[in-house]
Amino acid sequence: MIGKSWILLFIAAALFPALHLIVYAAILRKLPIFSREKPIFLSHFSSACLCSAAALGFAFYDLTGDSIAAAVTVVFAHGIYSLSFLELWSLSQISYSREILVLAGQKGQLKRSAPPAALVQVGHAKKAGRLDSLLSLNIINYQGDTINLTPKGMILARTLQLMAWFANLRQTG
Amino acid sequence: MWLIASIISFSLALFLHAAVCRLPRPGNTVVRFFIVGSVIGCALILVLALSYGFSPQLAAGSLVYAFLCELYIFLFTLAISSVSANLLLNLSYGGMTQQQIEHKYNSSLMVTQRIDRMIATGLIQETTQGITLTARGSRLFGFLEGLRQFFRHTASLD
Repeated sequence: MIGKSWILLFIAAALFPALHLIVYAAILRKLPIFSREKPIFLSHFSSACLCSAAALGFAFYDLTGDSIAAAVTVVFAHGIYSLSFLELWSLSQISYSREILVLAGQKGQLKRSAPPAALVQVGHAKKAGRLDSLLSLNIINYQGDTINLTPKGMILARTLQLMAWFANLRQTG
Repeated sequence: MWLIASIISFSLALFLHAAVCRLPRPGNTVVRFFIVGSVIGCALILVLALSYGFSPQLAAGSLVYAFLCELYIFLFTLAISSVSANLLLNLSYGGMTQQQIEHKYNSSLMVTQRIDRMIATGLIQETTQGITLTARGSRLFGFLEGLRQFFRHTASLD
């Protein structure tokens, strides 16, 4: 129907993530709700679903090898954008590594043998939220006073084990 | 065919990375995969370009491969640095009580381990004045601060 429809899809591959980033920079990041992980993830998930539905619908309407390949390009371009965004978003949150860099930049504030109480507090704060998050995501459950993995949690753990095996990781966490 | 080529290339990158990570020479795991992944990625692009020319199939095959590589890097860096990931790995061997978790994930010990890892990766160094940033650590810190400002993360120890 439309010759070279894949050219339009290529443009979409670049425009869709760009539009999402512009909306985030101009509006979403100023809203307090988008300082939390779940809304950020949902905004990317819904954008990716919309983008994929549009691309695949267009591809199947003009069913050629080129248009299907172009639709896949659009979907995976958005996937790469979202994965990169979410990695950078979580990397820049409060963490041991970031706080260690802050203290290391203030000479004399950090000694290996005696980490400051404030740094240890990072661990306490993260620990408190960690089990609750894993519970709310149905990755762990309580059986009496013992914490176990759910089947979903076990799949996640096995995936991580496989990745750790490939990368020959001897120490994690 | 382009999809199969992407998946085969990614599988090859995985196994080559596994082999390279088992070499006796020291090296950064992420950098090793960048090198291995880039070489195989370039080969994939060449094969697709020769088969399809400048076409949607070339772009699709390349992006599928790039996405799978990024996902792999994300998962193994998560396994390296995430305490939650470490907890899941330990729980996969059997249940733990809250007390056992508190003991194993003692905050002071975890801070010391993280400091050791950051010294080993050259981001910080131990001097007579205590621990200080290296040039590399300074650059990373600058980058992280830029991200924090963009994403408007406000929580801090300060």
